Parts: sequence; structure tokens; C-alpha cells
Amino acid sequence: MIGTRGPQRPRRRANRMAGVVAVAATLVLAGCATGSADSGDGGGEAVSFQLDWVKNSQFAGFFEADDAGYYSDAGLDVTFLDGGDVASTAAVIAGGGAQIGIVSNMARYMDALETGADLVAVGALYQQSPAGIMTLPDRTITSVDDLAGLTIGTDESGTADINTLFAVNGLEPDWEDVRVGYDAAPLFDGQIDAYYAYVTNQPVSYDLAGQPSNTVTFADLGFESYGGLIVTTREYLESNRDTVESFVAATTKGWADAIDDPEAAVDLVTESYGADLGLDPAAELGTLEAQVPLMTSDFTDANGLFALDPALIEGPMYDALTASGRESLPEVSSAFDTGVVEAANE
Amino acid sequence: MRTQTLGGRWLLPALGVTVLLVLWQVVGAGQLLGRSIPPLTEVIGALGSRGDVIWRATLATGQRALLGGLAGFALGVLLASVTAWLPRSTAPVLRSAVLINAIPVVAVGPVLMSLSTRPFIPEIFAGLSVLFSTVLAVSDGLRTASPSSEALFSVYGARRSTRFRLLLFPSALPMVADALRLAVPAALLGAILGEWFGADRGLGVVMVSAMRNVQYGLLWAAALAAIVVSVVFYAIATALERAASARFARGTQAPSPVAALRRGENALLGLAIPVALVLLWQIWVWVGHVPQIVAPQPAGVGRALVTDFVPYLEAAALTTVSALGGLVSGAIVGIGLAVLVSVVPWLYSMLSPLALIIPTVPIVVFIPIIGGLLGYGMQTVFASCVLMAFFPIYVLALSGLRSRPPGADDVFAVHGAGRWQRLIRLSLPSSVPTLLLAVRISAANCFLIAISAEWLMGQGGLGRLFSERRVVLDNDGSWAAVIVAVALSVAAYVIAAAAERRVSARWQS
Repeated sequence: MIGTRGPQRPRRRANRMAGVVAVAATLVLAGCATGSADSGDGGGEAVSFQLDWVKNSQFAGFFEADDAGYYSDAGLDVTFLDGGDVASTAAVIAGGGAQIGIVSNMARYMDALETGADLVAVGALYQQSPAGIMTLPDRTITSVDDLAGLTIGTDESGTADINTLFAVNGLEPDWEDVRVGYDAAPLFDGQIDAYYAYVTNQPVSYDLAGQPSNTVTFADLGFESYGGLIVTTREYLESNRDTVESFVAATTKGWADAIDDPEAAVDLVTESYGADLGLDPAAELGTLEAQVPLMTSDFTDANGLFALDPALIEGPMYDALTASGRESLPEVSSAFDTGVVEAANE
Repeated sequence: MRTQTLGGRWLLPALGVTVLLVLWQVVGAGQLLGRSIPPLTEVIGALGSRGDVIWRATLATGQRALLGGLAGFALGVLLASVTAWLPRSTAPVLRSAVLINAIPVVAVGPVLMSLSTRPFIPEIFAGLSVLFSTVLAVSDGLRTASPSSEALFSVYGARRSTRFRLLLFPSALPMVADALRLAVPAALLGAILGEWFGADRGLGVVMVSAMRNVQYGLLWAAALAAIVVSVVFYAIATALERAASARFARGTQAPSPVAALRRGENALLGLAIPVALVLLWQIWVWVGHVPQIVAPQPAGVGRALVTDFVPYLEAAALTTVSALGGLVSGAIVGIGLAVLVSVVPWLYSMLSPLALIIPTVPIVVFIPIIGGLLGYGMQTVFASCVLMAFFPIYVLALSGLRSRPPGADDVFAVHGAGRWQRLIRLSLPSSVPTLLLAVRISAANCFLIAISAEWLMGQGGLGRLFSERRVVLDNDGSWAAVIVAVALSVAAYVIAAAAERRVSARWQS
């Protein structure tokens, strides 16, 4: 044992050191080489837009608007910020980390306003929220009564939404909450009876993988709300109204293209904007096609994509929020600005 | 240890990995643990068809982990050096490090997202994940110079810088190398977690996207890439550790105790550091006009704590059970495994790659596996705590078992002592200082682990409470959960440190 590691030590050590430095250098260089792929032709007014998820096809229209030059034609230089942490987008916008962005959920937007955040919603990506419930093919949910007593898998935002669903229907929450995260596998493995999902997302992927499922949105169960609110700060809107209007106008054009030619939009997502995610084109196309009916309605046909309907907000949507235990709701005209979409569609 | 032969060095680790891979294929193909674990062939397929994506993601994450991790490591060594330079600063520096370390990064994410720090969140998380164990290990290492050498230096009137350069730092090098090894998986996990808070590229982003899109092959390919990066970095760190241990013999000298403070000073310090941090927090909110939705004010958090005292207490109790239970079980597993592999060298060679894999795989990838095995609930949280707690204890226990007074091995060999005798009379006693450090580091971290596991899949506890309040943007409530968690973490550290002082006092006499 003695002397097995002898005089050759120092040199070995030097070699290892050299190895460490080499690996480090390679990584740094390689990282630099692959950096800076983001869009933006420069020149225009810089706008950071906070997405509420990673860059997949649910944002296809925004990327179309960027790629087709609708933003730059309007004098805008838009940067898209990823939003893997869904719950933080309102804070990022209120804190000045992005000028405009998406707040996924209407109830969370109300929460944000309650903290005193100076926010205003100027549009809604989804006329009807894609949040809903996914079940195996042998279970069909047609009313909230069908959910009573079930074990439902949720992610961070699911618990509050499902409780609201029960409250809106005048019931005490009667379901067992199992926090399983973003993966619906426990449903197919029989560990849960139902799964909280975006009906445009997980069910589509599972269907393509040969696992059909039943889906129902919360709106179908009596809990109406917008999804994907387009939000900015009141301060920014007041001093940059033109910018916000041009942004919404250009985005409307981008989404029109995406709805018109979903295949091309998916190509753009999977090969360019979301190229670093390894997305499956078939699933992205399925998501986009499932999303369009939720984005469009008679109201948007008449008033333009993203249009907000004050009567709908004041009526069933505020009713749902009140039923969930909210005591004071803001004036619709102070929380929502319908004028931006109107101006964008002139 | 006779692991230098070709067979011991490469064959057995390769065999260990092969067994694991075969097992993986069988489990995946037969869907033995549910559908979330794809067979190996599917993962290789994903690597083949999406190799470019994984490659770019690996480079991005590896680079962030390296930069952030090295920065955190360097800062840790610097802070630890300050404690050696000015021994009286040791207690304040260590306590501040414990307090800052106890803040769960998931609570900091949204704040960093709203500030100009946003592009560097993965690096910051990587650095923070590394900082604490580095400060602790290196500061301990710097206090391991033997008293006789210390006396020699002072007799000759050596200057502080000379003493530091020629005595303290060399004797600390083995611990510095240990800290580097612990830092590897921590930095990588930190970078991956940071990427969830908004990065456009990286393994963390691929994982979160793949999980939601049911791309199991891609998800596991990303996890595999994370493991490979970790193994490469770890191998480099191990080589450095071996070199340091051989060149600067790993002594058995226990670290000299932290410069004692008077009782009054001690209490003052315990109060002053938290008060200073709260003041800084309040000033930051006022001066920066930070809106409530980004960060609450201390008073609001205090109010939330008082109003909902009972729920917080209940949650704290549940978290404590998971955290301490995980710590104890993790310590048993970690020490047991370290003893086992130090007695059976071929097992060490075979298991060493596997022991590294577990702490490298992000906990979200483990959730479906543990959930599939144990069901979803507290048992899953507990199992995650054990998985995450065992690694640092295993690494440090193994280093400790290899340290011994110079010449002791020869004495035992001459007397014809067997393997077990050598273990009980030599290795185990010599490993006590390192083991105590391991328990102290893990005691401070076990609450953090429990909270992140509860955040992701808990049915109760502080992590779940944090998540429920956070998602409805009740920052007073979510930060209150964080404050309770920080207090528990610090308490666990202080108790572990006190226990360490007692044990080492007895062990030295």
C-alpha cells in the first residue's frame, strides 16, 4: 500500500487541472456559439411580452405576427419571455419585468388586482377558458354532480379552480385532491378518477399516443371565465396606448394567419420559436386546432379576436367569482379596457 | 483501497451501470412501474431523433451550472477564508449563511423574474445551491490545522498571510475538494430549477415541456443528459479530491471549535442577523417601490402568521416529521452504504456511479416513479426526503472513512488486523468529524427538501401551504410559510451544531 501513489502525482494533477479547464472552456464557448437566436429586427419600440408557458403552439399567432413582420411594420420590436412558472406572470407584469403579458386565469387576475397591483386587461386569448377535467373513456362528466366524491389529480392551480366549480353550482366542495403535477399518467394507471387539465393540451397528446379520454371544460359545467387574459399595467397603457393598440392589432393579424393555415403556424413553432423544446408537430397541431374554437365565438366574429364582452363579465363571470367567496369585485370598466381591441379592429 | 487496477476502475462501474440499464429496459418495456417510465430503447430513440435539441439544451444548462456553480463555490471559499482570517467573524458568517440558505429558492423565483436578474436565474439558483455547503465545509477545513503546527507558526512569528497560505489553506484542501464534489449535483439541479422560472433553452425547459406533452422518451433523454453532465463534472471533482487527499494528507484532526462568543454576544448575534435581514427587506420594498404582488412587507407577513397561527403550526409539524424522518433515514442509508462499500471495495466501484445518479435526477422526474410505487401522499414526500438527504451524508461519510492518521494503516497491517477490525477501530472513529459535518449540512437542508417535495406533490405541510397561498397571489401568506420554514431550518442547524460540539468534545478526550 505504501508508495503506490508516488512521484507521478503532481503531473497527473496538472493533467486533471488541464482537463477541467478544457471542459469548462468548451462549455462556455459552445454556449456562446448557440446563444442569441432570439427574434427582433431592432429599431422598433421594444416591447417584452410575457407568455404563460414555454413557446409552444398555443402562442402560434404571436409568433406568426413576429415572423410575418406585423410587429415590425407597426414599429414594434417584440421579445417573448418564456413563462414556465405560470403563477408568476402577473407579478412580472406588475413589477415591470414585461410591458404586456398573459395571465392564465381570470380568478388569478382578480387575486392580482386585490393585492393592489396596477393592472388592466385589454383582451382575452380564450373566450372560454380551456381549463377542464379529463377522465377515462368509461366515465363521462356532464354536471358537477358527476364529480362528487371523485379523486381528482391537480397541479398547483387546480385545487382553487375545482373548489370554485363546486361553489358556482351552489355545492360544498366534495372531492379528494391529489397533487400529481403536470403528468396525467396516474389517471391511466388507475390512481385517480379524474385529472385537472387544459383540454387543449394533455388530452390531445394522450389521444395521439393511443390513449383516448373524455374531456369537459369548466364552462360546460357552469363555471364561465375567460382564459389567457392579455394584461398590461394601467400606467403603461395610459402613456403608451398607441403601442398597446398596435400590438393587439398586429397580434390579431398573426392569429388570423395561424387560424387560416395551422400547419404553417405549427412549422413555425416547432422549427423556429420553440425549436429548443423538441415539440411533437402532430401534438402541436392538435393543440392549435383544439384551441381555435375556444378563441372564437359569435362575439369575436363581430368584435374581433380577443374582444372582451362587458355584459358577459358583469353577468355569469362575476357571478362565478362571487360564488367562490369573493366579496368585492372591481368595476368592470376599471379592470377591463374594451377600447384597445375596438381600436385595433378599426 | 485497491481500486487502481483496470478491472476495479472501469469494469465494475460499467457493470453497475449495465445492470441498471437492463433493469430500466425491463421495467420500461413491461410498464412495471406505470407508464411514466419508458423503456431505455425509447429514450435512445428520442436521443437519436431529437439529439440536436438535447445537445443544445445540455450545453445551455451545463454552462449555466458551471458558471453559477463556480461563482457560488468561489464566493463560498472566499467567505470561509474570511472566517479563517478573522476567527471572530466565523459565527456571524456561518449563521448568515445558514439563514440565507434556509430560504427556499422557489420563493425567490418570482422576485428574480420581475427584476433585471431575470436572464440569470438559473445561474443564481446554481450558485445559491452550492454556496452554503461550500462555506460550511471549507470553513471547517480551514480549522483543521494541527495545534502543534499552529503553535510552531506563532512561535516563529509568522504573519497572518503566511499562516493562511502555508498552513491553513493546504490543510483545508481535502475539504475544499469535498465541497466541490457536493457542489456538482447541487449546481446542476439549481440550474435546472432556475430554468423553470423562464429560460428559452435548457434541460429544465425541455423537461417541463416534455412532461406536459407526454413525451416520456424526450423527458428521460433530458434527465439522462443531466446525469451525464453531472457524472462528468463529478469525475473531475473526484479526481481533484483524490489529488488533494494524496498531496495534503487528509488529517483526522477535528476542526477546532468556532471562536467562542460570550453568552451576551451570542444572543445578540442570534437576534441581530435576522433583524438586519428584515430591515434590509423592508428598505428594499420601500426604496424600490416593490409592489405587494412581487414581494410583501414584513408587517403583512407577521399579520398572516398571527391570524392563521394554527394552520401554520399544523403544517410545520407535518413538515418537521418528513424533514427529520427523511434526515434520519437518509443518514442511516448514507452511512450504512458508505460503510458497506468501504469494506467491500468491488461494491464501491459498482455502486459509485449509481449513488451519484439519484441526487442528480430532478425530483419532478422522480415523482411519477415514487408515486407509481408508493401512491401519492406523504409517503412520497418522505421517500423524496430520504433520496435527497442520503447523498451528502454518503459522500462525506465515505471521505471520512478514508481519512486516518498517517501510518495508522501500516500499524494495523503489521498487527494483521482484519477488514472489520480496521473498520471499527480505525476508519469509523477517524470519520467522526466529517460525519458530524455531513449531519449538520443535511440538518439545515432537510427542511428545504421537504418543502420542495410538498410544493410539488404534498397533500399537506408548509410546502403545500406555500403553494396554495402563492397560486392565489397571497404573498403575505406564502412568505409566512417561508418564514416558518426558515426558522425551522435554522433551528435544526443550531441543534445539530450543538450536538456536534458535545460529541466532538467527548470524542477528542
